[in-house]
Amino acid sequence: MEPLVKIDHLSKQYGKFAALSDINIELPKGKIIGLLGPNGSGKTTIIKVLTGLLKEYTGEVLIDGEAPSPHTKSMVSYLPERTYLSDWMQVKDAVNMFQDFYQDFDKEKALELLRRMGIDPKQKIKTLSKGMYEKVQLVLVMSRKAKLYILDEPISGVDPAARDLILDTILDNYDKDSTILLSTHLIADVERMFDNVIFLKEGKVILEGDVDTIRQEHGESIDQLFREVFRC
Amino acid sequence: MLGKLLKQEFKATYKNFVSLYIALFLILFVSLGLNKTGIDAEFLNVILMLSFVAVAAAICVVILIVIISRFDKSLYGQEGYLTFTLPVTESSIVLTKLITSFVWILLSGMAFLLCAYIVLLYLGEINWSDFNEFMQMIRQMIQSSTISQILMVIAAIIEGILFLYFLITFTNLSFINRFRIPIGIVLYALINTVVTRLKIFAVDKLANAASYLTFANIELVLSLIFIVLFFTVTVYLMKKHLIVR
Amino acid sequence: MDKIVFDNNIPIYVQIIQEIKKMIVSQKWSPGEKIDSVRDLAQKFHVNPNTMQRALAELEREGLLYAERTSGRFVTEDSALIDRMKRNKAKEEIKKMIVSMIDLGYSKEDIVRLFTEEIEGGSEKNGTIGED
Repeated sequence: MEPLVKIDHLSKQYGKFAALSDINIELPKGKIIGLLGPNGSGKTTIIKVLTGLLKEYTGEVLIDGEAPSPHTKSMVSYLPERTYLSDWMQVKDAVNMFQDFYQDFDKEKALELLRRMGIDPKQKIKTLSKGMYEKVQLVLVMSRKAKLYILDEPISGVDPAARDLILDTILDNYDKDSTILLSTHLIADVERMFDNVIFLKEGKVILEGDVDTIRQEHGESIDQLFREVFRC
Repeated sequence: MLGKLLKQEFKATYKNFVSLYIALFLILFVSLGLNKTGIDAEFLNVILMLSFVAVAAAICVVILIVIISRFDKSLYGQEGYLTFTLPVTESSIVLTKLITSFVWILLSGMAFLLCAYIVLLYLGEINWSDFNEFMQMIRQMIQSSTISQILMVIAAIIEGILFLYFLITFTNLSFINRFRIPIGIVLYALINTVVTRLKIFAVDKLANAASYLTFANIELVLSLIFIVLFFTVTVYLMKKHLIVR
Repeated sequence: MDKIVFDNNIPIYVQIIQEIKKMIVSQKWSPGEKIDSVRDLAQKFHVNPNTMQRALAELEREGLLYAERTSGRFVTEDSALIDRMKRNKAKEEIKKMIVSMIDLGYSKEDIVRLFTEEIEGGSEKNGTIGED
């Protein structure tokens, strides 16, 4: 099967600093893939390129055969690490906005998920606690039937109980025609969800593959392997 | 898609303006009402006049803020992560901001005119039947050559807005890390001077070349050129050199 | 179903297989019973559906589950197979216990004695355990 995302010789320099050096990655369909690496390793840069937030780079990036464009943006559902919803909005305004712009958005599903999480659609975004805000953003992103989900740190800054709920929501949304790219540093909590992982260090891919194969080869969990590999 | 973007943009900005318009008319009617009752409160009148001017000034400031700040915030601030992941073209993004800014300028202008008309009405300078005369006058104006003067003003406004958009976009490019505002101001002064000089030069050369080349017409065409220029360059920069931090 | 805590050091699908074998052996999943879809099971176990699929495929290969193309997956009705597995599991557990006890320094006779006592609910009533 053709991979959903093909990244060939992707490089990005900021002045003298090489954020990415010759990255070659393929993201297959129907898999949950972990993008792992410390801060500054280039995870965010790759994500920005895939989501169309960074336009200056060398190399080729194809999402379902197409370079990043307004059309690929309709195929990609992105959960950023930071807040991006406007202050003036109520939760239901955000829901309606997603419905307006994304054909693949399921409004009923979103409202149902919000109800289950105990979030009142009439609440103003700016009055939400960090945990509730994360949940709202996650609900919006996962209520789309996208080809590629990019989740940047979906559970950091969230209490453990909410984490399970968020991870379950992500798993529930798994679809064999979609790909989920999950970037996190809280590996232990999340690694049982991954099919594949990609280790990124200083802008280069230093390890990638099927998680169980890696576990068996190294005889330890991904979390422990990560700590070893990235020990200062 | 453009319609949806416009809807979002108006939803995000209307509250500020509507409350100011209400305040404006409220103060107006209160002042007129007080005046009618004949209460001779010089002090009160002054206060009302001052607050009217204040609200009118506030509207002008808010317009400027809306033009600059909305553009900067929603494209290059946190909201940029949303704006640039929506499945819309860069052209529609810029066009949306332009249209909403222009509409608010237009509405505010109309609000001021309405205030002026109400005051004149009240002062007895004109009466209700004069409204028909007023419409006649408008019709005459439109039919005469003052139409190109109006268009010139409109074009100048649009050009001004797009010029600001270009500056904001340029100062947000990746190689400009600090001193964004000073650089923006310097660029503003620089480009403004160049463009003005160019326009003066063009007007000078062409003014007497033919009868249809009135000052308004020349200015109009020049504005249109710069409108297209600023728009294209801004969209180009967004397409090829965007970086959202 | 209570949430299982997975050991990230061992492949998850292996742990799922162990868990399902327990369910079959303890009759929580009865012979011939139709099991949930991969998706539903994955949700119940809070794991990646691909991982669950791998575990189920392996169990099918071992003959503990079988798939009927249109109707879904079922637990085997082969009670001999289930009994064999049950016995193997028991042996595993006993072996583990014996190894731990030997580690603690007990002899084989001690182990048998303690085991019998424990089974007959003895040591709890007497309030003594391993006092020799």
